Amino acid sequence: MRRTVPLTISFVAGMIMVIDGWLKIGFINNFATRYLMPSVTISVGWAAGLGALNLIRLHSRNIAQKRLNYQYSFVLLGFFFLMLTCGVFLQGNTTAPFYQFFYSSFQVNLSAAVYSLNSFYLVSACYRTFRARSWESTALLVVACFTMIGSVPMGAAMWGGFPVIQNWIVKVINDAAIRGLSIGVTLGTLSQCVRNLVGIERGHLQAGE
Amino acid sequence: MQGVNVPAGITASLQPFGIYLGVIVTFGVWSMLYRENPFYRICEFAYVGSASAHGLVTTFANTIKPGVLTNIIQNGNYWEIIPICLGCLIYFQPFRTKMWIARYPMAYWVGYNAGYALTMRTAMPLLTQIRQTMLPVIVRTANGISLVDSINNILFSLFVLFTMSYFLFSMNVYTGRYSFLLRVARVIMMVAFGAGFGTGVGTRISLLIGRLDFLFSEWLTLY
Repeated sequence: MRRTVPLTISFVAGMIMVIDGWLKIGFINNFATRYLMPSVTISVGWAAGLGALNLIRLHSRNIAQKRLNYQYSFVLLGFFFLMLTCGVFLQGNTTAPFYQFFYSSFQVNLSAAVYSLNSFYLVSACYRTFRARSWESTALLVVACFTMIGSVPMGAAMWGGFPVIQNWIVKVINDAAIRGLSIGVTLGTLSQCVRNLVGIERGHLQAGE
Repeated sequence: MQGVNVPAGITASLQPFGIYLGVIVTFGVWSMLYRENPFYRICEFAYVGSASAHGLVTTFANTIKPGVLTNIIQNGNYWEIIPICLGCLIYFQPFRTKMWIARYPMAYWVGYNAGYALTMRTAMPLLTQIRQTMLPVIVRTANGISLVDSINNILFSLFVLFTMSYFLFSMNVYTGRYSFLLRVARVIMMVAFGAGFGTGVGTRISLLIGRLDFLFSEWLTLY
């Protein structure tokens, strides 16, 4: 019962979508468009609080048990409730000026700073990567250099051929390899979906085991 | 549900502090370059907290609030209470004895997405990708045959086949006369990863330039 019913729900919901996608059957197409698709958006939206709930639970426990670095949990929960209060309780939307102030001056700047920090680590990654120890790593080294030099105006100023070579590498070799990879990934995804639908793959139903 | 209206004067008076807040968090995050320190950890935890809250606020503003106010109360779509209840079943997940109840919404979402992927989301793009790989071997232009485009098309199709052959597990191409396919495929993929790496470096550098631009123009007003 605890396993058969979820598997049946999975199969029925999936098959309705498959029939809706490939066949023209009026009432199924109508049901899928009017009820099934919005119902997933709605139910997923209402489930979004689970992550927040786990976050609160984990950090409240950190504070209660005075675990290592529990002081930072205060910071996390403080900013979490500050943003939540501004967004949900004070003005109730993301475009309200008070929420926008916190979002644009704090969240956006913090996000940009965190991602810009990566550029410093990329320097050390470049050092480790750009060592020609084999055929393949030499190919990576040469192509990465051409791509970087060819995509900046300075590269074109040094030699007009850099952007042309960069463009050829991206358009022919890079696109072909990515196409090959994505066809493989798509075939894998399709087979995984079939396994999910018919109940061979049950990893998502492990809750409560 | 309309919430409390914060007076515009308060928001306007806070604006200058926004730049200082931005500067503080930028230096806080960059302080990690020296070594792990409390200033960085505070910024890190504040980022996680505010980003989680932002996700929740966005979901509330875009899905939950219009769903309840407009769809259910105004338009009378009471059937939407059923998916709301279904979504709420996931909250049984933290309770050890009632955890099995959380399987129902999960099964629904997985089944829906699996079915959806078997139609327009995955299967149709696959057909499009296969069709776009079948390029003309001889490219004719107004001036005759374009040799460069023809060679590029042949190379493109060959490279796609080589890359796909690398992931062919149903027949043995790892030894014997076809093993050269794997070596070629590996070089092609490394070239692609190199191009991706180069592009990635460019993107990160542009983010760094953006931060420096913020510090020099908006904070120090040097230009």
